[in-house]
Amino acid sequence: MRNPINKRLKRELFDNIGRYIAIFIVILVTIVGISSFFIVQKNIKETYDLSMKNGKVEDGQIKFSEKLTKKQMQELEKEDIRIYENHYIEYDLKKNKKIRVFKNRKNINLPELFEGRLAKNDDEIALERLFAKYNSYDIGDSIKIGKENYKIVGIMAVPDYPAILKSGDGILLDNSNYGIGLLSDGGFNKLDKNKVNYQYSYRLNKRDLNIKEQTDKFIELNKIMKKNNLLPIDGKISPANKNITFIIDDMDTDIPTMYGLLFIMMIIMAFLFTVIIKSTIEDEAPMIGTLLSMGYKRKELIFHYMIIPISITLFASVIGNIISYSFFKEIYKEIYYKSFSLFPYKVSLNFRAFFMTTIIPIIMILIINISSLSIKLKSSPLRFLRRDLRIIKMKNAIKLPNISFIRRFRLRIFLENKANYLVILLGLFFANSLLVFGLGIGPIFDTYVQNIESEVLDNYEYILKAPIPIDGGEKLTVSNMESVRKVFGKSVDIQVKGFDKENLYFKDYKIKENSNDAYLSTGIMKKFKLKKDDEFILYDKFLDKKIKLRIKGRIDDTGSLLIYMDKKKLNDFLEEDKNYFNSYISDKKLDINEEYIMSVIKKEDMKDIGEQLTELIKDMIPIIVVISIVIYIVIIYVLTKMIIDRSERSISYLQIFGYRRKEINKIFINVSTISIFLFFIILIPLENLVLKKFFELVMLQFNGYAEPKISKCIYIERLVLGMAIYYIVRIFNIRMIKNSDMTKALKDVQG
Amino acid sequence: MFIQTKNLSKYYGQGDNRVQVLKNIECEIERGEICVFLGPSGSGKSTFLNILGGIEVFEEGFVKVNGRELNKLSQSEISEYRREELGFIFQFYNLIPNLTTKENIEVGSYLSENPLIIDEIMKILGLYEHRDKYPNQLSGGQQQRTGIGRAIIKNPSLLICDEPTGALDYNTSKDVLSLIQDINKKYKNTILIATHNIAIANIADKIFKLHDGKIVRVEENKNKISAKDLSW
Repeated sequence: MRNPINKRLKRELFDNIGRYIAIFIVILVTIVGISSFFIVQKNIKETYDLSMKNGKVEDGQIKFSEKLTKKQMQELEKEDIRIYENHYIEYDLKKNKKIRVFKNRKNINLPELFEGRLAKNDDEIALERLFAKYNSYDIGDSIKIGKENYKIVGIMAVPDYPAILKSGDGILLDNSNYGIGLLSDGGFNKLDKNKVNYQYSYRLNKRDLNIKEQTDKFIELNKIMKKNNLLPIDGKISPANKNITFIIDDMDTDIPTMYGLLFIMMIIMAFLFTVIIKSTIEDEAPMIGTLLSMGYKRKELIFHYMIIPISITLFASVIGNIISYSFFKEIYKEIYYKSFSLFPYKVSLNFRAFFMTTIIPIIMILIINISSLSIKLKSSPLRFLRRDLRIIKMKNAIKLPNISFIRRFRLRIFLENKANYLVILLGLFFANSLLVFGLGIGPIFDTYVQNIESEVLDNYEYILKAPIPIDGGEKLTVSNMESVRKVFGKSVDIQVKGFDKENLYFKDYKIKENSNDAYLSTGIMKKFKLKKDDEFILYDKFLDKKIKLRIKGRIDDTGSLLIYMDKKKLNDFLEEDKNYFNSYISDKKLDINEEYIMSVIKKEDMKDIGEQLTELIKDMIPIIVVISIVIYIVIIYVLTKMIIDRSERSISYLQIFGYRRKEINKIFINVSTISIFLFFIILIPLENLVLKKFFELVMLQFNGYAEPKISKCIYIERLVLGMAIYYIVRIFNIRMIKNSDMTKALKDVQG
Repeated sequence: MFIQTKNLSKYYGQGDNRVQVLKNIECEIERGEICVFLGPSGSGKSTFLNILGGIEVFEEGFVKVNGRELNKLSQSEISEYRREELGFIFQFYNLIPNLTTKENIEVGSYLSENPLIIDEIMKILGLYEHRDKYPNQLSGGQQQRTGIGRAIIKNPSLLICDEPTGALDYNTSKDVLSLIQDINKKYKNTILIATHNIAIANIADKIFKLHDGKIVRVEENKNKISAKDLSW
């Protein structure tokens, strides 16, 4: 026979429908936000990995000044690789746009179509998706490349260009101005043969080589090329190709953050349920006492009280996941797909996401609430009948200071409902932190972007493919390494600049020749909490070597992650000649053959770079702000309403005795007003501390450093927003008191 | 006349479910009298006291208490009337559970500009040593005495007692009734007591017998006795 007391659950649910709907919404919003993220993250990674696998992405590329013969290619293939033609021609289009066209790939870097087909005829072209989107090209449209017109027959993506960077190897995404196109052989051959870049892409026969081994292989290839009088003008392995690696480098950092968010939310919801159940037990104490004395078992009661929380959590989790899979994931997906040229998105069931966002919340609700219920229901039936449920038997009430009666009454209400206020405090802390983060990260990044121009020493910084002597400009060696020490489990990418003491730009930096002395930027010093004379170790993943530096001082800058050191020492470490260099700094444009330029960083581009680096995170801000507002509303509404509900009888008594509405509000409403206002104030130092750590975690996602200074105005904004939300809830609470029925209190008395 | 009612009628429900719970009640009560309203459960005695207490509205008739016509008062005026004139003593005490004994009595004193001295009242009621306890740490009698303290601390002109001994044992009931009598003697307030216990009527100046919403009999009690001498 089903437990008859379970029949009252429907009434309990509908009598308090507002409260349970509010909790349902919070859990739902949390699950939707987090589950969608997990789904998309995994699917994006899978899509990317699949594109690399199915697209047979290259393991490296080499460019020559002329076409290789079959024999030359065979010589290179003796190094256990398969090498293929991947020639391209680059054309300028209207409005400063550029397109790089290739022949249809057959064996390597294979495309994936979104729409249409690959070019079959000589006047057809398949265009890369983002370039087509941002320039409003559709299938059937025409595009003029050089003197030829091509009809667009397909929209596609290629695995060697998931990130389309300005000038191919730069650090600025520019998929609206730089496009990729695939032509038929005949279509490609129609174009100006003088413009052909003889690029060759290769795949290693052994598929499991690490970066060092791949680098070694590349070095061996270089030796073979030299032996065969083949002079490459450019070349790199895929791990060094930013077009391929840009998207994937920092994807993993978000996941622990989201797990953290999920756990915190579920703990707050679990405590919310605990407070509700505790209040219900206190209200129904005589009933429980009666049931226990009749012979009902405690575990039957525990099961009874757990039905509603588990049902709501389960329902919200399932619906949340359905919403995530059906349409909410599109929001996260769009954040990636609007910036990266990925293969078509494939949705796969992410059982881990489903487990994390369904089973884990239920387990947390179960554990926290069963523990609390077990303690609460330990009392004897007699104590329940007498409503004497204090766990620690107190002799007398806490003595209050000699303040006015109304204030003492208010304090008693606060003490009686301290569990509720504790959960409000926790909820506010979490919601405030989210909101301050959401409101604060924008201005921090804006400051970073404004200051980033100062990172470039002068108007032009050239990174070269080879040391080309020219007139003008100051030489230096630039290398990208990573820190050995990790921040939140992740190494930090750092740019190292080596210069001679005669270099005009580094007059202020006193570094002994051939020493390990180095100047570090503020960003590095702060990330790793370093000071002068400390040691700092860097790791070069291509050479598989480490270098230990001694900190001589700080680079006076803002947000970069830079190290200055002696050029000779750096060259030695990089196994280059002592006079080697690969970069020029200049105040004006230098006359360097484009063939030898890997990238040019112009001061005027730095702002765009900064904005791009911060864009992904900024896209998340509206979601974060909305989640925090939802938490505010639910926590404040549910818990303050509960306090009024619990005090309903007392409120009725005071109305009967002739207390005015203002006086009643002073006691039962103002207790929450004052408490919540004070919570907003006292939480500031704790939020500040936690947010600083959180910002550090976020900062890992991009290779820069932004001072986590949160403006005081943001704290004021959060106070104003939080109190505004509270005041809206307050109106409902005041109305509740106004509408309470005096006589109901007398009739409901249980003694 | 301190209290006057004429043709007082009260209904519950609507349409086919409408029930008349008070039928043309007429009564007159002098200031300072102890009046007992006797009747079985459902006779309308609590409803009548609630109307005099301004807690329930009525549809027909006229009620005047200490010069105030209740049917002409607005909601806020009725609330002021309760604040200034009334003290309530309930069957189940209706104390505020998270206030101490002393603070529960202060709930009453806060409403008066000239309340009685709280410590004195607590001593009279035998509650002084329990002043810092919560209601659930008190016995039934102590809780009811706290309720009495809360009611009388503001020295109301009218004390409404709805089954004040209904939840108490015999001896405690007599103690409580004795207190009520002493209060009446000392402060000369008018006291209305609703009860189904016929023995309690012996402490009254006037006895109203109710049945099925009507006053079926009014008696002047010429043989008033002390509560200590009551027995049932």
